[in-house]
Amino acid sequence: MEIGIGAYVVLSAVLFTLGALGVMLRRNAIIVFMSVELMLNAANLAFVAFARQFNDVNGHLFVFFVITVAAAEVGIGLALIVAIFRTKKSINIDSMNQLKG
Amino acid sequence: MTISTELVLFIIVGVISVASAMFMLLSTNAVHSALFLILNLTTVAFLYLMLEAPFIALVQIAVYAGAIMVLFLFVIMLLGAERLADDEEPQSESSLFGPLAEGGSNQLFAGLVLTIAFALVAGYAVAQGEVELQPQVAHNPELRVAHAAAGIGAVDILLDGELVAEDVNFADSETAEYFELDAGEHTLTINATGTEDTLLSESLTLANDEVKTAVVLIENDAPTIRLIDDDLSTLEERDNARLSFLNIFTDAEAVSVIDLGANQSLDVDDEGNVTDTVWVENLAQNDLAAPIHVPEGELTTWAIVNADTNDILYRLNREELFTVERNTSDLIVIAAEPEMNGGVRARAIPFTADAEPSFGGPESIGALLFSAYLLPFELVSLLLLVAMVGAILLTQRVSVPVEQRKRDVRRRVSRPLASVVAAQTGQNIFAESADSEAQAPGEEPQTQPAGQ
Repeated sequence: MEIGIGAYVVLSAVLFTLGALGVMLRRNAIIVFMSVELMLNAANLAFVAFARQFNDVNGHLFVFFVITVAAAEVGIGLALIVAIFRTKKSINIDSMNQLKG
Repeated sequence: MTISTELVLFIIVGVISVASAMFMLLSTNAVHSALFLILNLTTVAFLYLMLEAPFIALVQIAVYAGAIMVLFLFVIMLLGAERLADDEEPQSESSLFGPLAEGGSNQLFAGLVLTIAFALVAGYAVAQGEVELQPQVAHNPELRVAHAAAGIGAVDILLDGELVAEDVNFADSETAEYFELDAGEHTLTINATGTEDTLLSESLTLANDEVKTAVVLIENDAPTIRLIDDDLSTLEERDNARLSFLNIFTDAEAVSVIDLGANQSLDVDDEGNVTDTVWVENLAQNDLAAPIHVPEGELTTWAIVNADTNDILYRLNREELFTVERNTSDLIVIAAEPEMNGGVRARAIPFTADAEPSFGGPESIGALLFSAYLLPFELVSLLLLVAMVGAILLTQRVSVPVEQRKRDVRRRVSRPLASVVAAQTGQNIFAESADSEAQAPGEEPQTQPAGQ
């Protein structure tokens, strides 16, 4: 039995949902960040699956760019977390509410 | 219903992937979360391999599972944050996976099991060889026209009545390029150039995914067309080229393609056998030889030889055309060219085409990256540079200048001095100044912060 693109897209959707749940439920900023990485990764999986389906390498190029942007995002995000931890002594995202109106 | 290896692999690796993502979410220890995420990224890299994206799979492991996760682990350990923010975690979510989410040793055990399962499956799959997948979208057929009919002069080429190439000369291999067509029936018309004289018109049926060359040749003194299937598939060895020979030379029963060696002449032993390397043997008239794979380079020592008489008909070093480039698929037509005295001599005409780079390999991605995606690539590089500078600026401690530090020290010393003065004069000048400072900022004390 051949598996089609559907299975890969479903897996990608499941991983994306898990990542989104992590972003919404967890309070540790670093784990929230890792959940964002999980979501990006799920999107990449869908890209590669569709690239295979349509026999088109452009999808791989997009994955390449997403990985690069994710690297930049992690660099900045972790720097922010370190800076916030210095001032607040906490990385609980509920304590980051100073901009709240 | 047979269950393919691919399905089994997908199910096992998919389950490990989802499980590791869940453990990442439920784990109370941030270090465990990071380790589970590494496992998850590795399983996804394995799925990339199954989807024929080897380059992306390796980038995923090197950049994502390697560099980015090292950064995460570094920050977690730097902040000592592996147990932080636990108190505020909602407890309800761990009811289902409670035993696994709570005990650190259970978690580690689960992670170990998942990792070993993945390593076993991945190792088995690699040992078994590749997983076959067929692309499900067909490509349009492509057709090119090779003019190998001496004596009909320059021609115009029309496809379905539309002029696609004009003034194509005999043996013009430079201008022979592929035309993309829709699948179905097409009419190929060859006109004498600049006129409406139709030399031949033929109807061709092309199916999807077909790549063909229409060789125009002379048969029984009339131009005709011979359709040849071109094999442009990826070559297994990177610095090779695929050569096919088509013999339409009319003045010999059969020809051979022989590498003469350094002495540039045909070596024959006592029994009349050729001792030089024979690449194509006894190619009869109108036959197409099975493709041969040769390393890139110039074919300076090659020659086309009459297979019966061992006469050298054509030396391939005569023109610079015969430089074989890597990863190309070349059709070499051995055609007849008229001579001044009325006879014919052999002439080899190469029609080259690039073989397809392997799907998802570094070559195909690199080619796109440096052509269509050059600007986005530069922008992303710039973004990385900005991110690097940004990370430095964000985490840089504001260093206090030396003079300021000295002033701080002096002030600290001066406070006891003030109290000494107070003790001697009976007047607390320090408290007074502190009071007046406290009063200074606002006339009336604010009970509520502004904006509420």
